[in-house]
Amino acid sequence: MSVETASVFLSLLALLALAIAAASVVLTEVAARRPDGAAAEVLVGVRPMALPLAWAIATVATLGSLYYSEIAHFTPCKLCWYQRIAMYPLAVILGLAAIRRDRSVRAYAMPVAGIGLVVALYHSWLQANPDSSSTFCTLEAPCTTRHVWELGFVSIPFMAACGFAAVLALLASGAPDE
Amino acid sequence: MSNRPRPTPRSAVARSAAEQRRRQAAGPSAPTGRGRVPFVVGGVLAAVVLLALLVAVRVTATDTTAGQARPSGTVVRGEHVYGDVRVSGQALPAPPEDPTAVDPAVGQAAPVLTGEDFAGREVRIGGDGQPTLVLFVAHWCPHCQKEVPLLQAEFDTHGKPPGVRLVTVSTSATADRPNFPPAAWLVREGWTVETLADTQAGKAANAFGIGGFPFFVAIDRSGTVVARRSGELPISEFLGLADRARAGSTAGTTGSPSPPGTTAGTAVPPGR
Repeated sequence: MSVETASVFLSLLALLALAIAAASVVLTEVAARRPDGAAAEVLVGVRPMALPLAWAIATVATLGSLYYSEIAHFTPCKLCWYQRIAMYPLAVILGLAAIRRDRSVRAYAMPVAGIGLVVALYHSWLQANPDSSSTFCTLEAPCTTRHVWELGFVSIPFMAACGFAAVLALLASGAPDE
Repeated sequence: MSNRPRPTPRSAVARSAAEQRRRQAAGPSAPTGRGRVPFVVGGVLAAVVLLALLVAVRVTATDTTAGQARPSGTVVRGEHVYGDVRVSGQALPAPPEDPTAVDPAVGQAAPVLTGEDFAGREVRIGGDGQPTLVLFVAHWCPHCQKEVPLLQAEFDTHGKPPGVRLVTVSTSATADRPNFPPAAWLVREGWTVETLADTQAGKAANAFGIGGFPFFVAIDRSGTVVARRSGELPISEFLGLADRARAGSTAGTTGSPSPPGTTAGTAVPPGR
């Protein structure tokens, strides 16, 4: 698989993660407003999938990140490293929590995913608007360099933002008493 | 320490029995109602992931053949990434960090470069008695990626600035950075400016003391540096640099942008 093919594939997966995040938020909100409605029924049905799905998303994001640095040989910039610091542990602790069915992991995982989301959103904005930080590139690996730019807006940090958002939304969809 | 198995708590036994009764009441293993939802959602997600993979393979297979077309008018040819570069003369110092400070390279003799383009044809920069504007670009730099089409659109519409030789130096080429190789990028942009391929170590860039990308060096007909600029330039400032190379003024020039159509202390014809 070429780097271009992998980038299109990962971009589409990122959009899928974004759709999962949106669906999760909408379902949780509607179910909270109408506890006896159909949304609440569906939410109870899919709730057991939330942790495994969040783990799968964090794992795919981690593997995608490693693919870009170790196989495609893209040099990670400073902001890329901050997002890696947030995403890589999620792939481990969400996996363990999914096996143990331990939803209390939310208290530890959500702040990490939240920090990752903030950095990823800032980095996405920087890559979409490279002139906002400066009008020239330094000789090192600048954070404005777009290694990937699919569909006119999907960059690597945008993919990370979708992953963090999906993990956050899925973790938030669990009942507080679980 | 005893090896006897720990007795199961009574409450756990009761829960287990209740669970078993519930399962028996639910009948054979086929999930129904609410229990079916994870299977449906999981199946849909797996199908969407598979579809995404198929789309990615299909789309990129089409792109590979579509990207080969070379825009008409381009002078960039060849597939080399790096070229041999010979430098004669003293290397220029790095530009000052403060953009308003006086650039120490202004007034110095520019080094003369002899190298080759992406096809291995000889390219010389300097030593020919022509006012010259040199543009250093890096294929991975988003500011260079914006500047090149901006300039090419100007050349296509109004032509190149008269009386000034334009030369590009492709430098800092790295296979692990995006938009590689540089020749393919410049061909794609229909770039009509003669281009020298720098060495892998950036010999040409080092000789001109570049501090960022894109980087512009204006040289007058005597081979003296009259101005250096780094960063994206609007067309008016680019033409202003060309004017300064043509006019050959060096007095009091700094690294900061000058008002369009002027040089320090010397009026020059306004840019287009």
